[in-house]
Amino acid sequence: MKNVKRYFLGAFMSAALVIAGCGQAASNTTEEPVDTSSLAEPGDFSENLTLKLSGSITKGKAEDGSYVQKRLEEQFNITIENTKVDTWNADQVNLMVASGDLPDTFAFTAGGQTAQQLYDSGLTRTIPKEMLEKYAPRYMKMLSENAPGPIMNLKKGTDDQYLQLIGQYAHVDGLAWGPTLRLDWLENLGIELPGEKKQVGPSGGREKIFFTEGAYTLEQLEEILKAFTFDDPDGNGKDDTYGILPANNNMNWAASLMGAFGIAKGYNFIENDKLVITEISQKYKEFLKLMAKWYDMGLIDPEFTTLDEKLGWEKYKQGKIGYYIAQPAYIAMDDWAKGRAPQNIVESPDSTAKVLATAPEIGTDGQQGLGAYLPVTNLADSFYISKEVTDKQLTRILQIFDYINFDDEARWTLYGEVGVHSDWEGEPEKSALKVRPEYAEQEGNSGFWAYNFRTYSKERVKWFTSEYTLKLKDEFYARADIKEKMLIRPHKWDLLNETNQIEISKRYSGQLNTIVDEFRMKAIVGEVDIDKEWDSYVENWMNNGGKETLGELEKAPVVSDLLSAD
Amino acid sequence: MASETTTVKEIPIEIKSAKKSIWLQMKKMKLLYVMLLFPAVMLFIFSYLPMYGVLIAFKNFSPGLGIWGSPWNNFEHFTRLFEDFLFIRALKNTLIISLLKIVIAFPAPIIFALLLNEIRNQKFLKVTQSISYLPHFMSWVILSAMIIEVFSPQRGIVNFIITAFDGDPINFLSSKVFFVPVLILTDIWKEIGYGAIIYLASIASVDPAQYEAAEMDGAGRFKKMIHITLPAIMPMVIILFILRLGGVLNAGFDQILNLYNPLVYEVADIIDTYVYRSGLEQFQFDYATAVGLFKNIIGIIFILGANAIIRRKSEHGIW
Amino acid sequence: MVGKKRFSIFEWLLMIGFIIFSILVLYPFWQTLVLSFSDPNQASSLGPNLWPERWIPDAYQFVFGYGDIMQAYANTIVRTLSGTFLIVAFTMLAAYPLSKRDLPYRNTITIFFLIAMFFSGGIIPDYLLVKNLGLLDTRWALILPSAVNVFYIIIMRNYFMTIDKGIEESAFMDGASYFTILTKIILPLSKPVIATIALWAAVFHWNEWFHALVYIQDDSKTVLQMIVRDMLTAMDLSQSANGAAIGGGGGGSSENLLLSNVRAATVMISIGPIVLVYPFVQKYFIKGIMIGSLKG
Repeated sequence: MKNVKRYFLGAFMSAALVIAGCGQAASNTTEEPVDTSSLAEPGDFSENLTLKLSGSITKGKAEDGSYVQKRLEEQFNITIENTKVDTWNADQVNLMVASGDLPDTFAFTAGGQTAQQLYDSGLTRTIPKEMLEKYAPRYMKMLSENAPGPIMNLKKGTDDQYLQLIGQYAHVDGLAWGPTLRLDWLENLGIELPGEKKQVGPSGGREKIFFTEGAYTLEQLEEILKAFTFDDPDGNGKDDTYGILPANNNMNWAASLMGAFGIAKGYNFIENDKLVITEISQKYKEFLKLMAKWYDMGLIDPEFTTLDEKLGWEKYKQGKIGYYIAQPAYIAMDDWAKGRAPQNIVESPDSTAKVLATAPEIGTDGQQGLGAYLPVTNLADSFYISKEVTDKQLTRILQIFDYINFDDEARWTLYGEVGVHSDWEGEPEKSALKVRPEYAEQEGNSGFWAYNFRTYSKERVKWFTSEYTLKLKDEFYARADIKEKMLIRPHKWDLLNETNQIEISKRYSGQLNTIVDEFRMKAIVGEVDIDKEWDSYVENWMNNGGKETLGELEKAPVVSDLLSAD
Repeated sequence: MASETTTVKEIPIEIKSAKKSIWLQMKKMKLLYVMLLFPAVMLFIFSYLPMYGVLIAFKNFSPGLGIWGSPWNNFEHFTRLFEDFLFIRALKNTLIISLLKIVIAFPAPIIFALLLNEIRNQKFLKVTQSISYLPHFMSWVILSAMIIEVFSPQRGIVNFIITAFDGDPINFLSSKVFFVPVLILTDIWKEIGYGAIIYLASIASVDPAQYEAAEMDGAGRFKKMIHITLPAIMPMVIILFILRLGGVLNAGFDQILNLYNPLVYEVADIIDTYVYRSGLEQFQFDYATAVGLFKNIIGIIFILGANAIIRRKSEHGIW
Repeated sequence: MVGKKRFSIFEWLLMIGFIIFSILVLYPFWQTLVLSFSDPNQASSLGPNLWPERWIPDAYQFVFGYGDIMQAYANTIVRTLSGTFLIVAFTMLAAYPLSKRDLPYRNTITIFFLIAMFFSGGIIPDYLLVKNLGLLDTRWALILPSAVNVFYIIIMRNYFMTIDKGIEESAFMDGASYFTILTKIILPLSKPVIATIALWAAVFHWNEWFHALVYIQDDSKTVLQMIVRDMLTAMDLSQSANGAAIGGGGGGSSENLLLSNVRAATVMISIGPIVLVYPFVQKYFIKGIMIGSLKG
């Protein structure tokens, strides 16, 4: 019997060793300075190279020999090996990394690791600034135009070795959200509009959606929600309407309401000379107290506790809710936002509902705004180069990267030829592009998006944004003075990855989020007395990772300094 | 001295003969070992060979370094668990929900099978059986919207009945009192028919002659159920019960994830949902493996305990 | 037949109870069906939908047009049949010897099996194993790793142990080998449990998607549940991969489908065949089935 056990153990261990051996990755080597003079000049593609490429959209669906693949291969004299892995799936990514099959370029984060960690564990290589300037000039230009772009993502202790490339996020420019109200209800109740209203578009339901630059104050909004709840705004003779329906799984619903208190979810600021995170600040406490008051008054639909954002949209569609938060694209009825509130209520041609989008509510001290989508600057995301990539390959990769992501002529890598693979949705060059149904929108037989990085200049944003959304953004949501006045940014942010913030957040975010979510919900529905329980809530937060989080944050640079740096 | 030597001599002989008889028995049964070999080899390859992966529970896993190459971390994942009051709360909730499910939901399919067995109309029986097994195939993602609807304080049928009797509507899914009962009820509702299949299979093998004999003795419906049907399925009940205890720290992840909200975290946040919110969403595979290992060890302890207790009373344990 | 007797009050109550239960069980099913055929403008997974205003097959057209669903269907059926066969075969091979109380080292072997039920190395070593065995991106990767199921083995072993030893021993006296006894005596007596295990295995293979997700890269080998998963987890349809944006090119936007429609249709499509299996195995769960085999 003992022998049997020993036998099994022995066989098991040896077999395990054999199998595990294959999962080892290469160890670190120190890099030597690159001698760019020995590398091919930009535009010299005389040598054929084989590259294993993937991009931000790679989901393993790219077919070999697709349109984009063939064209790129020809243009850059390369042979592309497609990545057959869904890089949006954490399991698949970890398996790919564990089995050592990394593509030469990738835009996923393996194991939730930072760029420095990926480099340290031998998965990625650095990209010398000198090579970027030579082979990816458009990218470098973009970086320098988005302060503090050029100093981001540098390897610790160097000023010319980048750990990753970064994307431009012009599509999240401006206010991400804004409040909307049922216009037909306002009219039924004879409530004065805060400003002149404009139709969002001429047809398709857009004629029933209006926009105004004016805003209500929180006091006015409270009166409106009261009327929405108790004065039978839909005139059906029943007391079955509510002012506002929050979601139980995120805080989007409160984006502009919190903005009226000058705060944004997850950000930080100086309050009474102390650095605080929104969720433990006095201003947040005031916000919670207002919500609790509204809940107590009956303005908040009590069912919200069981509805997440998606179910909330469906409930809104039943026409019993007066206030809802929306992105400009929802109001403009972009295709991808179908079924979302508030556009879902006007979708049906028979619907008589009307919607009014307003500017964010005005708080007691005139404060009005919304958390910026990205805390500091509109740069985000990561594009990595595998450790296995040689300098020679890198020159070619950088030139492809620079071309397909930063040269607008490369639109064909995303949409093919207009008139062959895709068509303008409305007015040419001013509306969104739609891929024809016989071609895959991404990857597949067309190869669109298969090798691109998620980086969008203002021009590129136009290709996938409807003309109505663009108009809304131009006229209000992303207008320069509005951004200046209304975007709320954190006081400090670890943009340059100088602190342990990521490790700390990995360790504690589960606890901290649970504490915050629980307290918020209980406070709103009146299960806890906010004034009485506040101190113990803050203490609980501090003792379960809050102290560590704030401690790391103290070490981070001040955002306004980062922005004024060159 | 002399007597001592004889005893000393005797013992090896006894061992030898015992060994020999085992050897003979094994030889006689060699075909059975050959049969066992196929599944055992498969199991060895596909379960034992990859088992070294549990090591990452004790490491700071970095995909680039692999499972062997990642650094040890001195049980950090485990100490982290027990320093976290929210994990302790989740452990408590898991045990409560799971044990309630074992006590209430586990017997439900047994009772269901026994009652079905009392239906003599074959058509009715077959249709009922086929229908009862349907909800097993609906995913909680789909069902949760309907359950939320049924219990809605404004439109739900349950609250319609309550208000018809002059009660105040109850927000069941946001209530610390009612959330867990709703979990158990919907769990029974979803799995009762599918769970009854194995018991129906056991009942099917009862020799009808036994019932006939009991009828001759004047036994009624109830007596037959208690004295013939129930004992016939008892071995299966016991084994399923023990195996169910092995999953004592699985309280129904999909179900809870789709139904809960922060208001009921206090009673509904289980280990799996808590880890999901704090671990896997951020790719913490090492931490998640540590939690899985912890759950399985608790499961094994429960199985060993239950098996030991049951072995004392009957012969139907796992071993 | 005992049947001619009149139903007693107890039986009437029981039947009424079962009818109420059946309605409770059928309701969500019906609602999903209605939702799958509803006009997107009316469709909502909130609120009762007992009858659609008009029956619209758009959601089904969309799902059937998504990827290669017919190929995935075929793959799932092949996988379910072959996988079920393997599981049942291995379960029997392990369960029968382990049901013999006098088998030397029986407990040790049982523990060897049980341990595998509780400790798994996680997906990364599993993947490396499958890869090193050369099974990656083959259909074998979907059925071999799950071919031995310890839970099923214990259930079947337990059932075997309840079978009357008398018949078996007399056959053994007559010189029958263990294999003959298994196939000629034990199996006929165990049809109900084999049917149960086969049903469980079939349902497992029908619903399993994780192995397909990590082991299969070639779309032509993918399984139905992968498509179902895409649909159920997608936040909105325009983002679900591979040219899945609905409504065709531009224009008629108000006819676009809602996610809840498509989800409902997906569920109906995916459970259809497996639900139909049940009536076929059902006969093994009816009381008295074993009389024939006992006498034969």
